Amino acid sequence: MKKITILVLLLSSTIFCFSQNLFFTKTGHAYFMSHTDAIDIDGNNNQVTSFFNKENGEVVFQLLIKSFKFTLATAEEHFNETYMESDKFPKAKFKGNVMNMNEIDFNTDGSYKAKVKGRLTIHGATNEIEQEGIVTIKDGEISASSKFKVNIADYKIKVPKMVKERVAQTVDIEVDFNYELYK
Amino acid sequence: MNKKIKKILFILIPVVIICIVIIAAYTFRKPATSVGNSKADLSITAIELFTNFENDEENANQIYLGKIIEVTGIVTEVIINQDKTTSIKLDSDNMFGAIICNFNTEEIKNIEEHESITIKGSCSGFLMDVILEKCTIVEV
Repeated sequence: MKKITILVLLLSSTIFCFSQNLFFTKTGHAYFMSHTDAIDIDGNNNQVTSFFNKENGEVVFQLLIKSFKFTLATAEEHFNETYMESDKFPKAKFKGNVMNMNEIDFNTDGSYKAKVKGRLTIHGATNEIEQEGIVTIKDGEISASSKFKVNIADYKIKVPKMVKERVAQTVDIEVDFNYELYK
Repeated sequence: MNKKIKKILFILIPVVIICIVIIAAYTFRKPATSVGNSKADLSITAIELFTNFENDEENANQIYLGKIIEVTGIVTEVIINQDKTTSIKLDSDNMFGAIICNFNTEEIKNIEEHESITIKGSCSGFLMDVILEKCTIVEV
């Protein structure tokens, strides 16, 4: 039921032509890096689900916290249990819009700067964010990527005093999606 | 050195060594790459598991998240991921999603589509599909 509601919401504005304008992927990629002088902690997630609506610029993505795989395997447990509390908050989500859709020509190959605005939810806390991304058109295929920074205090992620020097206050995030037409 | 101190040291030193080993093992242990021999918390069919998540995700999260689940279903697809790991998709009887079982290390051989299979894995939640991590095959 819930999924149908989400889909209906997603499609509501483009119901008549959605088969041409809605793009999605289930194998999007997200990367994070917590860089400190003491240690670098980073992880990859290759199962990010994302929708992009070419008609109105709506973009959403969501991922499961537990799907991150770590370069430093020992970090996985701390990440899930201590910082992200992934049993309580299993997902991270973004829902927003590309604000400069008129500057992106989907019929001409190239890379376009996209200004994206929306709401990012991590660890159960939601913040309005405004970031830049890149939309790439190649042979009719759409891909998108973005690099941005997240201040972990904004998302109520607490770091025990003992390990303060080992966890960055500002974490670098990268996301990239190769979209396909949603049928 | 009197006998008493000797005796205490004789006991104390092995105890300290054992403690150090335990602490070291605890600190440096790696999370398992598969749920392996851990006992499943519950078993369920793929269709039931999907339906439970779709009907009430919050409730299903409380029941299944982080648990080791033994799930039985029909293989719809065997996927080789970009990072060379394997995922097996199980039929959910729903066109929007499936159960996706991610394998970390094991090489998956001789698994065919339409085959019935039982897989054990740790449940990480629901996007469009229900995702199980660190999977291992129980029975084909």
